[in-house]
Order: sequence, then structure tokens, then C-alpha cells
Amino acid sequence: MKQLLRWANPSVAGKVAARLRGVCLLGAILFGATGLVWGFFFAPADYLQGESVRIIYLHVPAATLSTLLYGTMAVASLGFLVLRLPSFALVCRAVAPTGLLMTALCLVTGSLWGKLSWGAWWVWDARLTSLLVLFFIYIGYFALHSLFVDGARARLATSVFVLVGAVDLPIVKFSVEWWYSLHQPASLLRKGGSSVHPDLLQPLLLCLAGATFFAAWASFTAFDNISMRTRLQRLLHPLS
Amino acid sequence: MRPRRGWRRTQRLTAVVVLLACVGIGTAFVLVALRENVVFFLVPSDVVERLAEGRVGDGRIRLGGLVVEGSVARDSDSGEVRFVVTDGAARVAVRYRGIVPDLFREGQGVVATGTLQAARVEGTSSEPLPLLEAEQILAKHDEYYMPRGVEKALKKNNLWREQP
Amino acid sequence: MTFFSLWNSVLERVVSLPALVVVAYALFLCALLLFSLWLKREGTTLRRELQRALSERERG
Repeated sequence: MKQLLRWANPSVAGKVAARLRGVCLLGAILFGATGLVWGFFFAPADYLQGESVRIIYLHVPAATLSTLLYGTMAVASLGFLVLRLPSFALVCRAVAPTGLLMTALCLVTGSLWGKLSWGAWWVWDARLTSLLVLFFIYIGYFALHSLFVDGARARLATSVFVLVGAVDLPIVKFSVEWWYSLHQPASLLRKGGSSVHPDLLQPLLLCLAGATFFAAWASFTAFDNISMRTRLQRLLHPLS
Repeated sequence: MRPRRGWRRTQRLTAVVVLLACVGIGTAFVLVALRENVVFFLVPSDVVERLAEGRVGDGRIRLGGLVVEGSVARDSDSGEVRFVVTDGAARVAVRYRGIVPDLFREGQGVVATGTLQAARVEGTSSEPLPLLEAEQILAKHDEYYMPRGVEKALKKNNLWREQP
Repeated sequence: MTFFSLWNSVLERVVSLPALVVVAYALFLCALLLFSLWLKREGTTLRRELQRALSERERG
């Protein structure tokens, strides 16, 4: 435990982040470009949806990352509240911008796909509504953080906020199982394995890997930026 | 110092767990209370049950289910489409004037929004079905994605599973 | 395969898809690009200001 806590020191964590950043960017470009080109040009059309199924290579990675990143924020917030180490709150803040981006992209690509497949830009079913709520939770996080001048109070308030908001995560995931909804049930993480045919699944998994590497790169970069900003503030205003 | 810090940590962990439990329970209560509104559509069995119990209110509902094979009839003069929706147990007839989504077809899922009519129509089994006058038709698809050739091959070998 | 025949097949594919699919890909990629550039720019600016602040502290 002592060894693990050593990584919680901001300067140590910052150095590790900088080194891994390059690898993540490379992974993002490699997996992402391959997956998207494969899905856009070479993967077959769907038996039912035809060519519009190609949005899956955008929508599913965005949706997955949106909830995955918020889950990361929730774990980081829990860690901060229990251990009171600022690095945990820093991780949460570093991950948030990418999470917000992914949620927005999920909603937009989903809307376009919905118009093509269901015939509607938006419906208030359980899955869509709960994901829109997650979008507003992300926005709320940034709004709440900006209200505080004192860093310590900001970290405390936002950590509690993120944890309370985490109640939405199981709702998003299980909404399609718990209630009749327009959005179809899960196609990846489900009993009996994925319901996506390998010809479509393979490029999708590559896109998922690419998106994950991208999120990692963006989070490391944001972490670095926040660390630098904190140092800069301490240098310019040493008394505050 | 160490024992006190460990105890503080456990205290904080307990506090967080209690907080989350309360929020979770509170949310569960809210969702159960809002049950009617969270469900996006009723299935034909629900509709038949409500009609029998007289619980239809102003008749405005959203109906979801599968389009019965061979039930789609289009009237080219009035631009009207008629079809039957089933959930495997009960059936409801739907009437719609307008353009249906591309994915609308027999054997596929559909969600129709509209008003239940007092009149009943004759079904193919000569049993009167409740009629829904629809204002909006949405196609509903399942979570299975596959290339075109695969669907035909599965159907040919009788391996095609019907959606719920 | 020449560059032009490759470009032509790309255009053919793009044109054969529903417009909304192309819009989705375009929006997605632009958003990712702009976001990445914004992050990098923030980093570069902060690094420069940090350097300036450090060298000023050493001087003064």
C-alpha cells in the first residue's frame, strides 16, 4: 500500500503520465485509423439497416468511453474521499473533459443513427434519457468546480457530487433490460456473448481500442496541464 | 498517529457507503414511483388487459411489438397503412396515414404512438382486435448485427431466432 | 492503383452512403481533432508561462 501511495505524489505521477502519453497517442492513431477505415470502407452492410450501420463504429466507442470515464471519475472520487490525497481528485478532473466529449459525441451520433434506423432524432426512452442526464452531470461537475476558489473545498464538493451522480451509471447500463425501451438491448456485454457478427465486430473492437487509447492520451495530457497550472499558480501567487 | 489515520479512513469509507446507499435507495423509490412514465411503450397484452379493466384514460398510448407477417395492407388511394402488432400473446391492429420508416417491415419490431379507438376491427382469426389510430410509427430493431448473406443462410437452415 | 483511382473509389463510397452517416463521421473526427489541438495548445502555453515564471524567480 505504501508503495502504491508513492505514485499518488503529483510529481511522480506526472512523470509516469508524460512517458505513457506518447504510447497512448500512437495506439489511438493506429487502432483508431485502422478500425475506422475498415468499418467505413470494408466492413459489410447490415442485413437490416444497410449502410447506416456504419455509425456503430463511432457511436459504440463513444458510448462505452462515456460511461467508462465517468466510472473512473467515480472511483477516483471515492479514493479521494477516503484517502484524502489530492492526486485522486486530480485524476478525476483530468478525465472529465474527455468524458464530456464522448458523451456529447454519443448523443449526436446516436441521434443521427436514430433518425436513420428508428425514424426519430430523439425519444424520451430510458436509455437516451439516462445518458442525457449523464451529460448534464458532467456539465454540473465543471460548473460546481468553478464555484470554488479554495482548491480543497472544490475537491471535496466535486468528489461528493461525482459519487452521487454515479447512481446514473447502472441506470444507463441496465435501462434497456429493466424497462421497455426503443433502444435495443446490449450487443457487446451480454449473456451468450456479443450479438454482433465477427465481420462487423472486428473493426468495432479496433475502434474501441483506439478510443480507449485516445481517452488515455487526452487524460494524461489534461493531468499534465492541471499539474502545470497548479505549479504556475503557486509560483505567481505564493501566498494564496 | 497511524491507528488514528486508519480509523479516520474507515470512518470516511463508511460515510461514503452510507451516502451512496441512501442515494441509491432514494433513486430506486423515484424510479418505481415513475414506473408508468419510464416505460416507453405498452405491449399488446398490456393494452388488452387495460381495455378489459377500463384503465385506458384518454386512450393515448405508445404500442410496441412485432409486425405480424402478412398483416400489412397499404391503400394507395388514401395513403393509409394497416397492420397488426403482436407480442406473442395478444394482438392489436394499427392504422396509420403517412410514410413509415425504411426499417418498417413484417416480422420486425415497431413502436406506434396514437389513440386507441372504441371501434374494433376484424382480425384474420375473425376475432375483433383493438384498433390504434397512429400518429407516429417508429421502427424498432434488436441487438443483432450481421451481413446480408448471413441472414439468408440462417433462415435457410432454420437457425433464425425470432425476436422477443 | 493510382492516387486518382483511389480518390475516386473513396468518393464513390462516400456518395453511396446515407448523408447522415457521412455527417456523423465528419462531426466525430472534427470534434476529436479540435479537442486534441485544444489540449495540446493549453499544454504549450502553460509550459511557456511556467518556464518564464521559473526563470524570473531565478533572476529576481
